[in-house]
Amino acid sequence: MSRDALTPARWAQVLEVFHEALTREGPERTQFLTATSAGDPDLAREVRSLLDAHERGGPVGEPAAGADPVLPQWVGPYRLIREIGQGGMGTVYLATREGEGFTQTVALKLLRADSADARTAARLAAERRILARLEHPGIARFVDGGTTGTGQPYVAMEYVEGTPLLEYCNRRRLGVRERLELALQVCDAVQYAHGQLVVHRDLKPANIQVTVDGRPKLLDFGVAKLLDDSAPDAQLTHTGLWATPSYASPEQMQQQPVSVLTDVYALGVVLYELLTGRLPYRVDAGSIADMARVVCEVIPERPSVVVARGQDEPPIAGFTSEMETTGRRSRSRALARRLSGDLDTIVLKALAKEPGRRYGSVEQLAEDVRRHLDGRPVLARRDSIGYRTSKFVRRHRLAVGAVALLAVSLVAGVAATAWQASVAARERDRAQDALRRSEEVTAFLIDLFGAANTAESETDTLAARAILRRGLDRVEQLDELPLVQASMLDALGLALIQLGQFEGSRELLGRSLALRERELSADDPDVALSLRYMARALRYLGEYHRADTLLRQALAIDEAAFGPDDPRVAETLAELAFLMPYLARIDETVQLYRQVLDIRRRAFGPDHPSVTAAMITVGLALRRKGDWSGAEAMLSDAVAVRRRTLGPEHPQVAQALIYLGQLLSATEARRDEGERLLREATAILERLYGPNDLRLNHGLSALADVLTARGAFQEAERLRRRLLAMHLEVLGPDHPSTILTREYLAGVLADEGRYAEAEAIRRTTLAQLQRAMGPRHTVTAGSMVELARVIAAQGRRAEAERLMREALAIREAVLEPRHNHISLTRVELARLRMAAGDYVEAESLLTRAVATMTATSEPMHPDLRMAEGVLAELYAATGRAAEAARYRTLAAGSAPR
Amino acid sequence: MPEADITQMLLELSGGNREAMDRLLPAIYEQLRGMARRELRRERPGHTLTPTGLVHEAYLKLVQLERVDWRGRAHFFGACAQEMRRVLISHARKKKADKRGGGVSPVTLDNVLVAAESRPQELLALDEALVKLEALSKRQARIVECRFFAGMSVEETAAALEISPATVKREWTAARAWLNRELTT
Repeated sequence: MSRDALTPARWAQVLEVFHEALTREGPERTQFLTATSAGDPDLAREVRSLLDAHERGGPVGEPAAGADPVLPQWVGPYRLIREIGQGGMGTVYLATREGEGFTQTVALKLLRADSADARTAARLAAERRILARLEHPGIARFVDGGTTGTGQPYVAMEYVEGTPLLEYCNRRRLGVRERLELALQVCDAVQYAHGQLVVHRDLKPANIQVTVDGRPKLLDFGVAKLLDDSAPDAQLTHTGLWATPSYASPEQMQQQPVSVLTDVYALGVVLYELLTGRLPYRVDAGSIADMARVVCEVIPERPSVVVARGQDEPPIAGFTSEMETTGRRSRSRALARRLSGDLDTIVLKALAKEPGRRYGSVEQLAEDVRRHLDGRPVLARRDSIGYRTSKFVRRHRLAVGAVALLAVSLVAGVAATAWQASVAARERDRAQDALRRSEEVTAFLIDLFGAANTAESETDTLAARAILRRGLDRVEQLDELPLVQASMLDALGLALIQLGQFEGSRELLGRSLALRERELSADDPDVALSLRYMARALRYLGEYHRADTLLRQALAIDEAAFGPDDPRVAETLAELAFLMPYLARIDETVQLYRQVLDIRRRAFGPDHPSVTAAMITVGLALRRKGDWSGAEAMLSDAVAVRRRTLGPEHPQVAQALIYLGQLLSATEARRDEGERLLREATAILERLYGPNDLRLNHGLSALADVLTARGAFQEAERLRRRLLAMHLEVLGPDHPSTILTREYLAGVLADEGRYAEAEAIRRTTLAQLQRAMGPRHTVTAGSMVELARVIAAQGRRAEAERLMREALAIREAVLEPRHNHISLTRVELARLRMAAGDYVEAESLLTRAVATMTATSEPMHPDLRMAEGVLAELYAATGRAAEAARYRTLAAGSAPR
Repeated sequence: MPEADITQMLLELSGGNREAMDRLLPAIYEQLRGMARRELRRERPGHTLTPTGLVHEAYLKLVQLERVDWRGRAHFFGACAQEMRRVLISHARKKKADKRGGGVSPVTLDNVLVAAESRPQELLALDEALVKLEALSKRQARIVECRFFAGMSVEETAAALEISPATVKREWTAARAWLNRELTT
């Protein structure tokens, strides 16, 4: 039977035998074939020739890259020779490609199969196009890229025959100068890539090979990110954990966007290792979170200090061979002397945790290294005073941008409402004025003392607090200029408020007030200004009555000096309006803000920014009162005016949208509408400031609230954690606003039923608040209420109740008797008593709360309706059906009162 | 065809609607042919995408990927495999007419795009053999198209043709043996 006579049926028969035969080998196979094809010699011949063809192979091989993902033989046109490395994203092979008359050797990076989804592939395609543009002698050339038969993306790079940087230096016992010169060549290459808008993101000595002719070459731009990547997809703008943790920057560990400053950091780590033989910190502790903590928090020791200890000294020439006879200790000491000063400063500046405090570019880092090598003064060191001052101003400005807003809302209580945020918005304008002043004062300080004290050795992370302390020292020397002294005290005092140090600010602002009262007449507007600042500090400290007294004094002075319709009077009125809720005088708040609005309308016309700001404050005051429709009308107006006068993409439009969105989303029926506005607002801000700016806090936080309310816990949690990372980065862990952000995160977790996690966070934040705000502050008490709730949710009723009573006692002691916080705490305690079966105390607590709230807020206020609902439950549980029904309808908001 | 329609059809497709595939194919083929032509015109054929790369790119250009599940994708690739074969063979025919001759040494056709460009005769011989194989087993011919002409993996082929990976492996081995015997004797 000839092959051509094969039919499908015959072919199937042939194949059956063929496959069977394939499972056998050698004589066994022969035996099998003989046995099965007895009487059918054609079949035997057919199968044998197929088996031959199978073994011999032929033009039809496996498709490119082969079918076996474990051990690929071919990747595209490349034949893999051997594995030469494993990286975060995949395996690197030595591979060759046969061309016509040449063989090309490449390092081929085959990306892991699980990273080979089409999205990654598309991104890689974009990256390949950019990498193809990188042509620099210090960067391994990009050769080719593509996708294997199984869809795995690969990148082929120039194969560099060399020695890893550290090994090269140590083997040749290079000296400090030679090591730095190599580092400078590396900087050149990185800087070139930055010029092409490419960030390496995974710089480390292992990725830097030194060729036989002594030139370092950078490998592995495989995880490079395009700087101008403006993809709106968050996944693309974040790094993922592709970097090597020991060399990763804090922003990478926190999954924040990377920039050229990320490479500056990694170069800092490389320098550190080159000069000391050690990494700046050990990143080998367990989970990613642990590692992130180390990277973000551990301040590296100065290189000279590490070397002086003399462990793991690098074999650096000049400190080893030349001093062979001297002991190890003195060698270490000599090296330490060489490193201390300039090199310590340079390395630690590159390693600053906050990107903004590093060198602004690789070029600047390289320039300082060059200056050091040339014996010229290093910039990081020479400018230390100016640097620290500008850092202070920068920090300060950040604070003014959004943080003032947070600190303010913090004071108003843990359950912050839009109301507080709104007033905070006013605070921000005010703080900007203050900033202008404080910048003038700072500039004055620099002029006065600038050149005096440059012999500072700790140049890296002098906190703003320390700068303030130093500023204060200088203020003390200004006794002969008391009014200058007073305005400097103002600046420092306001700065302390932003740092959350309220006691300190009271002291400084109090001194300023005393100086002005001594130097000026009692009705001088500057005295009024001091009174206003002082009142603000007191408000933060919870001394509302005293703040009220001072503000009314200030108001009287202003009205007498400027006349009642002057916008400057409106400033003081607004400050007073802001205070009123703390004294449970809500109606007065609305009325004061309306006054502010009227004055400004008359003075500036209807479209002025300060007018729309006042409209927002009125709207939020109305909301707080419970007048929902009045609030909506006012806020919608503000949005419309701002849109018309400022255009659609303006931060103030976004701000107004946030308040309106918050208002709408507080009602379930209009939650989606509110959420849409919030998303619109945050999108505007993100386009304006980037994804990582604290000015996004208010919008994102409001959005997280809505998400929590509608049960989208995962997204809410993600947002909260993102906000927390931003706070930690800019403000540090102890700032009140950071603490508040943690509290909110705990709130999401608790709502999701993750009580144990929420409890752990709340225990920490409570301890922090007790330190930051004092143990008897209403904010501290608020944190206790929340902690008690998560404890109760886990069934530990007695413990919860103890805490709740303590919180109530604090609030009763420090707040006005009719303050809403007291009523709310009573309701919470009543709930706990009801759960324990004690309806007597619960009833007395609830009736007091409801009576107070009925007297102070609008009948539709959600807090009041919530309290009425609890009371209805109590009556139902105690068999008083009529009362239960009455309160149920009140709580539902449908009954006449 | 507007992009939104294509996506809609792919969504239907991933829901098992084969009719959608038929309506979709003209658009896919047009896209794929254009891309393959551009690839084949490039100067250095060794430096090009693989067939799968082409199919992937065609796909990415056509749809918003994240909205279509993996099965929809597999069907898509299966359809593309046949089209790849047509595109490449027609290219090889033209190439052969241009060249008259070309390489004759039996070299592994590890990259079918390279083969279509530089060894058109061998590719045409393979195609002829494949026509014969199709007469014996349609399934094996489809598997060869997927594996060889579209560079798909065993798993992708299995999903595209809705058979088990074990069957793909087995049939692929047999088909390869048959084709290699056919082409070397």
